[in-house]
Amino acid sequence: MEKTQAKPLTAAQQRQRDKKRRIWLRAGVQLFFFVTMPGAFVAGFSGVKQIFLHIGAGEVLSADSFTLSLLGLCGFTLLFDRFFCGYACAFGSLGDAVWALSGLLQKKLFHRKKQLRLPERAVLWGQKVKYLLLAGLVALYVTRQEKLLTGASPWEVFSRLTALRLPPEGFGVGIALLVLILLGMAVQPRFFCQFLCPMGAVFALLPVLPFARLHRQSEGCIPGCNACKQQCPVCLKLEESSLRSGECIACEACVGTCPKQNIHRWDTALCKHQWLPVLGKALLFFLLGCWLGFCRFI
Amino acid sequence: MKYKNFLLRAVNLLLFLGILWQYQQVALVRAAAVSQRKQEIAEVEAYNASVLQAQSAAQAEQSQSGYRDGTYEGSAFGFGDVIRVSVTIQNGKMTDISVLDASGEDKPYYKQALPLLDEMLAVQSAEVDTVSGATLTAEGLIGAVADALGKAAG
Repeated sequence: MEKTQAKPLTAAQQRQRDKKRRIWLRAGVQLFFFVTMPGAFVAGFSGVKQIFLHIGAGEVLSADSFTLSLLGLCGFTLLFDRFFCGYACAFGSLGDAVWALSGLLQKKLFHRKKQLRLPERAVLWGQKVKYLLLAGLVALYVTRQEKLLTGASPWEVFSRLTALRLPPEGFGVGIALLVLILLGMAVQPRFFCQFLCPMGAVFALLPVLPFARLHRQSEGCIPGCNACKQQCPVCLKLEESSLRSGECIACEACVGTCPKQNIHRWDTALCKHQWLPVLGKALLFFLLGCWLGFCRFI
Repeated sequence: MKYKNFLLRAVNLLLFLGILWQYQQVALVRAAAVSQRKQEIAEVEAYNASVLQAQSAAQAEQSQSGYRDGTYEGSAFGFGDVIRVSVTIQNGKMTDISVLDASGEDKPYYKQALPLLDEMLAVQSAEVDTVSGATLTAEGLIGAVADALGKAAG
């Protein structure tokens, strides 16, 4: 009865294993926040809405619960990059789930090796749309025409679904938009987040502290390697000078995929275990969310 | 420059916050003036009302709303679960609404909808507009009060 000695893993195998673990860890954190805090992103954007509605009415700005939610989310993003987008937002998680499901279907049913996705040029153009959308919404709020949009918000429909309630009548436009967005999510990872999310536009414009961003040490890169960009849902190659760097949703897919492990952030550089920074940030965000009242169970 | 991107965004954010702050100062001054004016109007209206009330009190003692006195419970579906309220009727008037259970509501939304209770007391009816952004919670509160008033009307 001799036990077969497990061979030590090669570096490539080790990397593959780390990558898998990273993916499962992220999925777990996302599921946790999907169940406990599905309303966080709506509360955050309601803060933006509240501020501009007040301005439109010429009223004094007050620190009500929606405004505090917005401040909390923005503060967290300044310090920890868009961890909220990558790991905690329920709509983002929905996008990831639909994308993964679509990949699985394409593989099993149509035997496609490479998942269908939008061309890069379309993605770059699409990413500008959300800023227009944000500007449009703000204009509607300031002119107090926001009633025009009643029933058209796909967010509202989704948040009712997460409350296990059917959307009421008069939400036909919202439901149609949600279905279109779900279709979009199947052909481009994070379709809604990068193209349409007005909260994402706010986050992308925030001055995230430089050390909190993902950083690629380009000196060590293999010439011509594009692995990080291939994996990136928002087509970034992490160039410091790029104005698009705000688009990064901190999903950290590139960190696991880089063959030279060139991509770091201060927290990943600080400790050896990959799960510690993620769980630490998740815990911090959970506490913040509970304090702001996002949690459905506390 | 290494931090060009960050500095650009930081300057923009500061500009935006500066504008908001400036707006707030103007709004505060305006609000003070408006509230002073409102107070003056309220004083005049209170005087008018007291005259009218003296007249109408002579005409009819009671018999207006049709609600029987007592405390009534009502419930309706809010965002996550059933909201239960109790409504107190005194002398045919709704004098108090208290929420017995709203455990299914997310707190930011619930807080946003709470002023509805005062509004409903002020108009003595459950027929008020919902709160934008917290529609479901507001609908729950309104529905629960309407339910209780229905019982009060017998």
